[in-house]
Amino acid sequence: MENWIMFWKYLLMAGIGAYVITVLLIIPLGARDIVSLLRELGKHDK
Amino acid sequence: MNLDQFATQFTGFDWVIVAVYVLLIGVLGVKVNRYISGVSSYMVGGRASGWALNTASYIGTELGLVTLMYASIEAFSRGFAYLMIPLIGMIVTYIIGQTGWVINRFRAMELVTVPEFFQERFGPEVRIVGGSIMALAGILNMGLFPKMGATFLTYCTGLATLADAELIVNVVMTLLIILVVVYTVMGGMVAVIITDYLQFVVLSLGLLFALGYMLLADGLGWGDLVEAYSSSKGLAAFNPVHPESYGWSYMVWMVIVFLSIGFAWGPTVSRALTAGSPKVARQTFLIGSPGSFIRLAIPAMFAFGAFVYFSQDAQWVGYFFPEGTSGNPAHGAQAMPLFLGKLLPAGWVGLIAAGLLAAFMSTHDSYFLCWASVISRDVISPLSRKSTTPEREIKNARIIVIIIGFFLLLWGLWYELPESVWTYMAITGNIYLTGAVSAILGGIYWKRTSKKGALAAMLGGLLSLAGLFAEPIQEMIPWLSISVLGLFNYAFCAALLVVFSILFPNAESVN
Repeated sequence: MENWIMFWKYLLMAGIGAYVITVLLIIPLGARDIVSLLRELGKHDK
Repeated sequence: MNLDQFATQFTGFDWVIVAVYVLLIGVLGVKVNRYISGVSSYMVGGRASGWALNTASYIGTELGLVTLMYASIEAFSRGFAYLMIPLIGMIVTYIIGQTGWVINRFRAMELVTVPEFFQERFGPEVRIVGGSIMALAGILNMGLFPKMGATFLTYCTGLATLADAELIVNVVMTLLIILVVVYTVMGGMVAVIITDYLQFVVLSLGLLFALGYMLLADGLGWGDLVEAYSSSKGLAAFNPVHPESYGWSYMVWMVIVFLSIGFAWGPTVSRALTAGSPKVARQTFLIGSPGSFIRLAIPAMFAFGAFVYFSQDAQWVGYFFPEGTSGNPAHGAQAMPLFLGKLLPAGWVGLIAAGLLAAFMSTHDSYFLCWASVISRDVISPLSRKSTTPEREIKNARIIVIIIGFFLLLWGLWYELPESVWTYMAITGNIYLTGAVSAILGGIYWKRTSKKGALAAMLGGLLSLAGLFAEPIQEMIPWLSISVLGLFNYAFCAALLVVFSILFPNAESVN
């Protein structure tokens, strides 16, 4: 059982760590993409 | 139970946060409506989404109230062993992103829906049959979404203290369905992508901080969670292939289910179709893979916290664990929302509830649009003798959204939440996935796959409907578990595809 407990512990630490990096990366770059998307759709509108 | 025991830390201030947040999201959805200039912008956001926004939307669609509910229900009863399911989800999503398997081809073909592939490869009949089965499976699959959303709100906000909880859940569910139908009809895929981004930011930060807050609280640390499950359920709470846990066949079934979802399930594939290019489609899955794990793992952690919290109080033990903490729990759907409402301070719980409610709207919007697009483009338009204008197609899609909303209301009122909502969702998804996966893979990788082979595989998938009546079937055939039935159906559909393709080849292959 100890091995399973350690496995889940390290997996959660790695998963949460990877996700935090993803979030920090996506927040500013996603905002940039929204501006580009609306600009692109605005062009089609005209 | 005394109704006062369902009181939480949710206050009037939290309701104001929820109202303002949802109103802002609604206004935003209506505002971006002016960017809807055709079918492409309404259904796939103009195929102009960059990788970061597309990944946020991919995770935002999946990281919602419904996910939180079904993951926590499963984890509450299964313990840490449940985490193997999100792990499989992450690995499979990563592999699809790394290889671009199938999604590359779909994006390069500039499809709006998956059944369009069936038309390109096999002709209009397969598109109509594929679209019909996909929509049937998809709508049944989301049949429990409103009830789960309403259950969360009722128990997290303390509404359960007011009167009969079942009545309140049904009233909240009705209001939620009206809200999401109006929101979807007014918005479209551009609204979905942008609000998904906001959901992603609010929920990612809110849930990560809430998890930290829980683990630092007295008696709810990592050691407490592990101790509670190991003393109650032993090794079965940690080892997913233990005989008293899921077992090997369930795990193999999950690998195949996640692979199928990745390249054949409408709402998931739609994130490949909204991408600016095939490369962006691959990046979305690759960078989104940690999100596939976290969206299920964080609610699982809250469920573990709820297990510890309620197992320490004799009255709650009677309510949640009538067979003792080692047995199957009761009222599993209420545990996580009630726990979060009791754990998080006022203001914070309001922000989380607001984010989840908005995410609920976004998930519904995304699913509604997907199934309405499939019915409108892949079933009604090909059957219609007149050519359909883009305006007519959008109008059809909006009418279908309203009809689906009405169905969800009836289904939610009639159908009881099953013990494992996750398994219910896997079964309903399989109605379409088992046949579609054979037809898609055969269509791409085996030249001899014929129209009749694809049709036979699609119709063979309907056998998965038997999974909805698993209990009486298992009484007759005890070894036939849901996972064995699921695996059998994938093999059955693949066999039908091969046999019918050999027996009934396409005319041009014969010539």
